[in-house]
Amino acid sequence: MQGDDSNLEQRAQRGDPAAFGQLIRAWDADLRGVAWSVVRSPTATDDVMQNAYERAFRALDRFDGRSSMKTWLHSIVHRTAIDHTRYENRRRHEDVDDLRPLATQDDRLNTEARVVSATELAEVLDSCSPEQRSMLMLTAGLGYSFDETAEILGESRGTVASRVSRLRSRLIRWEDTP
Amino acid sequence: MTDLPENQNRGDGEDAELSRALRNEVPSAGPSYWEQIDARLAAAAGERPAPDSEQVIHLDHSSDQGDTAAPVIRLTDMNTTTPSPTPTRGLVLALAAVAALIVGIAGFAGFATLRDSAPTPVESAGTVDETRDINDADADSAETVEAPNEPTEPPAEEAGEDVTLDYQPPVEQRCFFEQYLPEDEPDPSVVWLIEVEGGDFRALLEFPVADGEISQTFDSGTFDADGLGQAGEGVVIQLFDSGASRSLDEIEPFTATEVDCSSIADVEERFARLADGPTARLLPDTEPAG
Repeated sequence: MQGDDSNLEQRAQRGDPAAFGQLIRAWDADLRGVAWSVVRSPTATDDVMQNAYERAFRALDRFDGRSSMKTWLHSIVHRTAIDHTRYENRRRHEDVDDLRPLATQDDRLNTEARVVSATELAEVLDSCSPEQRSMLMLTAGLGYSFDETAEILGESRGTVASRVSRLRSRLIRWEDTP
Repeated sequence: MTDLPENQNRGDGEDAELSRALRNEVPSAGPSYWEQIDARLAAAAGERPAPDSEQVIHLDHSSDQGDTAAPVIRLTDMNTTTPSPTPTRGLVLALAAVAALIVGIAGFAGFATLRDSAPTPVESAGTVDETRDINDADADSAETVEAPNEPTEPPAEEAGEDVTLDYQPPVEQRCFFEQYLPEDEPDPSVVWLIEVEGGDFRALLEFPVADGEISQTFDSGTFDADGLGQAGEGVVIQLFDSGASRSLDEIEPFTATEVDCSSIADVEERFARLADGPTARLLPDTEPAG
C-alpha cells in the first residue's frame, strides 16, 4: 500500500485529480477528525474539507516532501478550519479583544477541571479552544505522536505535550468514573 | 492512568476508549460531499499550468539550438497573462515598417502633420486606462499603487503616472488575491485569500482601502515557510468595511485587483512592524509556563 500511495502521490503532484481523489478518500476519515475538532459543525466540516482539498491540490506542486503528504494535508485541513472559524467569528462581529490568548484558556481549563460524565464529553470539548481540540484529536483520537502533532499544527512539542496533558487529565477522570 | 507517557505513540492501546469516543464524534460527510470535491478538483486541474518539466524542455531546446522558430515559453504563473509569441511580434514590426515607408513617401509636409497629431505616450496610456478592464491587473496597478512609501514602485525617471501600467513586481513578491463573498448572505466584509511565494508572517495587518479609510485589523494566521503554511499556502485575510454603511455594491468594484501586487512589500513591512505591537496578543507565546 505504501508503494501504491507513493505512486498516487507522484501522479497527484503531476496534477492528476483522480490520483489525488484516491488519496484523500483513503485519508478522509482522519482528516475530517481534525476539521471537526476545530469547527464542531457537520456542515462546516464538509465545507472546510472541500476547501482544504482544493487548496491542497492547487498547492501540490509546492509540496516539498519534507513531511509525508498525509501530514502535509493535515496541516492544510487544520489551517483551513482555523481560517474558517476566524472568518465565522468575524462575521459574528466578534471583537478582536474577545479572542483570548490560548494561555488564558489553558488557565481557565485548569481552574474548571472537574470530574465529568460520559455525556459531558462534548461539553468538555466545546469548552476547549479549537487548537486544544485538534491537539487532542490528533494525539488521543488519531494516534499521532506529539512530534507529529507539533509538526502538523506548527507548535512546539512541549506545547502539544503540556496541553494534551491538561486535557487528558480532565477526560481521564471521566474515563475513570463509572 | 493519571500519568502521561512522555511521548505518545501510534497504536497506544491505553487510550483506546478515548480514541474511540473522539472518532465517534466525527460526523460523516454529506450526500454530495465527494461529488463536489471531485468537481472542484477537476476544475482546479483544468487551471493548472503545464508541468515544469515541459517548460524546461522547451527552454533548453530554444537556448541550445538557437532555434528562433521554436515557440518561446516563459515560466509564468496561472494569473499572469501569457505573452504573445515572438512571430506575432515580428509580424507587427514588419507591418509597422511598411507603414513607415508609406508615410515617408507621403512627403515631409504630410509626415509633419502626422507627427504633430500623434499621441504622446502619456496620452496613449490614458486612453488605455479609460477603457481598461477592471480585472486587468496591469491596468489596475496604475491606479491602486497609492501607498506613499511604496518601496517597489518603478523608478521615478520612467515617470508618467501611467508607466506603472507595465510594471510587474518581482516574482518573489507576486501575490494573488482571491475574493470570497458569501453567495447567499451578503456581508459588508470581504475576505481575501492571499498567496505569497515565500514569506514568514505572523501578525495582524491593517490595510488601506480605496477611499483612503483604514480598515480594521486582519488576522493573518501564521504563514510560515517552514511550517504548516508552506510557501504558497494561502492565508485568509479579512477586509472589514470600517464605515459599516457601505453596501456590497460599493465594495465590489475595488475588490478584484485593487490591492496591487506590488503592495505586498508594504504588507510584509506591516507584518514585521506589527509583530511586537498590540496585536501580538492574538498570537501569544503558546508555551505555557511550567
